[in-house]
Amino acid sequence: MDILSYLVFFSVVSGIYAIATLGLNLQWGFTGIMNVGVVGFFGVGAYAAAFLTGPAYADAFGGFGLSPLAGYLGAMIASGLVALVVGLLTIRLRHDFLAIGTFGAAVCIQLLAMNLKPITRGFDGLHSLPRPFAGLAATPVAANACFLAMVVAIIAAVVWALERMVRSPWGRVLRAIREDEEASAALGKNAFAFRLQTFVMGSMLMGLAGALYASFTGFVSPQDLLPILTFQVYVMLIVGGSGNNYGAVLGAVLIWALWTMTETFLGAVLPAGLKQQVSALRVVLVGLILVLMLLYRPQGLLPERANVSREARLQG
Amino acid sequence: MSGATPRPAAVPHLAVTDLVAGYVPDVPILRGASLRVDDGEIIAVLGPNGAGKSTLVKAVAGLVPARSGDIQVRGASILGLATHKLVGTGVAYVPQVGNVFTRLSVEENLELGGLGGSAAKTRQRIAEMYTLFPDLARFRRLAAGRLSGGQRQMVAVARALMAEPHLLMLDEPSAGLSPRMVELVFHKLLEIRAARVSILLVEQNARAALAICDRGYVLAEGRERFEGSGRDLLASPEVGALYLGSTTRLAS
Amino acid sequence: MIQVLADGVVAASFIVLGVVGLSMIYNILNFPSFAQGDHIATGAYIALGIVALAGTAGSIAGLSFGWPLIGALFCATLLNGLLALLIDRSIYRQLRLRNASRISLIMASFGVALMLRNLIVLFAGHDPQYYAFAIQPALGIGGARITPNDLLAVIVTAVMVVALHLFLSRTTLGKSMRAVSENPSLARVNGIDVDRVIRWTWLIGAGLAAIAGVLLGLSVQVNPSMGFELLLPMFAAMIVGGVTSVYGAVLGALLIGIAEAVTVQYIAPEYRQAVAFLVVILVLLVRPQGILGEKA
Repeated sequence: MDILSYLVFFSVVSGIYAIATLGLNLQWGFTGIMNVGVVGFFGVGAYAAAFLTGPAYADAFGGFGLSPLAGYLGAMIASGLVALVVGLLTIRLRHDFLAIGTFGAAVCIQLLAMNLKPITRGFDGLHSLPRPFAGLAATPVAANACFLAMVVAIIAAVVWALERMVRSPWGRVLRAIREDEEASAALGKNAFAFRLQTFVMGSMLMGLAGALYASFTGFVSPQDLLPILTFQVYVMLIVGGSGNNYGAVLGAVLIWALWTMTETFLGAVLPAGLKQQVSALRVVLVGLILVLMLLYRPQGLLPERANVSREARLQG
Repeated sequence: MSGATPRPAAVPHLAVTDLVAGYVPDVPILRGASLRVDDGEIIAVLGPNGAGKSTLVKAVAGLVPARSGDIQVRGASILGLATHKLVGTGVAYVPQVGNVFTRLSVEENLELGGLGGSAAKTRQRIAEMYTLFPDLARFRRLAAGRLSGGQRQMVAVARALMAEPHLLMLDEPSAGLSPRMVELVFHKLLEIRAARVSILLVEQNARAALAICDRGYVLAEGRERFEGSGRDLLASPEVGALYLGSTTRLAS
Repeated sequence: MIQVLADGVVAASFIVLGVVGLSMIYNILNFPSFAQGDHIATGAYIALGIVALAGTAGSIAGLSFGWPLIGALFCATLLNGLLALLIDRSIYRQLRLRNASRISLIMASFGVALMLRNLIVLFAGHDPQYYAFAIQPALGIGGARITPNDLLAVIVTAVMVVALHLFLSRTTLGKSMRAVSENPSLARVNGIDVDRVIRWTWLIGAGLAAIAGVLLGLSVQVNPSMGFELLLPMFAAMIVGGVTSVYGAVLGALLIGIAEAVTVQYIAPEYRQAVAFLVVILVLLVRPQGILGEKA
């Protein structure tokens, strides 16, 4: 692949990750709830888009052949619904239960994707999904560039919307709840309802990311639902700066760059045939970055702006 | 009622000097408080809410960081000492809340109080506690969480005494107790003092505390405002004003 | 039916030792460690490494292991504990000193989990490995068929549970751990060195995990995700049994094990983890504090 197409490809993928990271930022950065099942909602979105937009398969569900746009909307609705169910069950309980609950949900979603073969085709995955600009553009690169433009537009819209929401009265209540639940409960605000709202909204963004991924690559399989994705998104948010939407985007780009570069670099440096080891080493390195950031710069590269002190935020 | 004549000068069990302490570095609750507990005394620490009474004992226990000043136990400074080493200096502390392990039995609570000693010593000490607190023996195998407030308070005090302290610090032992229980608890304190244990008593119930103490300190805004014998403080109009907002004396 | 029960008890055995550690860590260190599964795996691999050095797992009386594996087990228990202690000193403890939130600790444990799993792949590769290659005929006991290794797992686990009970109820350290679980501040006031208790929690928690890893490795196989696959069942066992109670966790493990066996028998083996999750949901709906837990 030449440089331009590589860059475009890279930008699209980091843009998709950025959308998922923005969703996590809404949940964790702004509301202080911990969703350890990011990949689950991403997967729900991806598969929902695949079902809605894919061609009819002989041996699976789906084949509605709708437009990619319908796929995106459907994905958001589907992941929102799943989040609603999980949230209703776990959010009124302790933080750790939500972490465990979302983790469990993601595992179950992965298991369903792998094993409900009549519906999902298992490991064979769902292929030949329509790609939005394939027919319009002259070359694959041009199509990808159009896709990139769409992703950038979506990111801009999401960031704009999130920034507005966070600065609104609704956003202020959210911050109050995150900082001190007792005080905000005394004020009569229903902390549970607010948390549920952001949980669902954040998960919808993750679902959207999944759908975009499906329509970009044209293919979806359980291999896309590995926990490593949750891990990647967390590192992206922590490095970029949780509580800061621009930080979320920055972190996504940086970490994705690191991720792809280490593969190339390590792959070139280490002898061939050690591919497993390269992947493993990459995870170890990025894991180390996560831990080091938590220890030495927990606020990330772009700290949260506005009236909340860093200490108070970390106490969430 | 107090009546002990002042003992000849000896090293005080506890000497707090100009203590500045608080949970958060820039917001001190204690602003230079000083007090002293001499041998065989019951010292009452009183004051309105927020004056720093609880913070004082917590600072001695090492649970609240001390910013400046000194805390000496029998002449040796314990400033900055880790909380778990306090027992080793002969000081026992009964917090106001969370002062028993509710999931452990009464006997296990007592055993934990006597961790430093040998098994035989602990058994002997537990027997002594059952003599001092006869009710407890009945509940020895019961989980402490199932006891009433007053019984739990007894367990908490007995637990603190297990380590044979020379100084017992109590934070509002009368809180949440019926008047009859309060009378029982305070009577126990006199028995404990008779057993050669000095007592530092932080209390909201000023009248009851002043009635049994030798000397008292009234804290306000992080330092001691008044000091005197129990009798004098009871009779003082200024102390009464602090508590009751008028010149009514506490003793009337 | 009996067979399902027997399979359930066997499945529970692999969960129990890991969940005891998980419960202790949860109650004393105040966060659910997402790395507990991978500590099971590291324990199994350390033992594997030692066995590889020895050249063989040995064989005693028809069992597929001998003194080399037993020795490896002891070493692995110790080394795994030390590994956890090292991780605590360099990561979790540093976070505690910085007053980090529980969420930060959870996230760090997630990072540790992935690092451990991938370090295993780095050194030992992806492929499944075995302590020994002896094929074991299943024994018939009371109407159920069970392999000797599985039986061993059940016995060893039962013994360890009894030892745990004695430890918690009779020893000073055990009582101190129970005290710190409930009220660390009061524990300090009583002269308990909470940092020391924390160190022992990691040693015991990871030590037990190593035993679970070796037993599982003997019974099934040793592979990098063997521990991670137990993570959800362990969390489920802890929640079902009541998070505040170690005994609850053991009971929860039994229930989850049986639920898993039922799933494997009547539905499909692939969904074992999912059923653990379903049981959790059920419990959260009906009795959120769990079987032996305290109401909030």
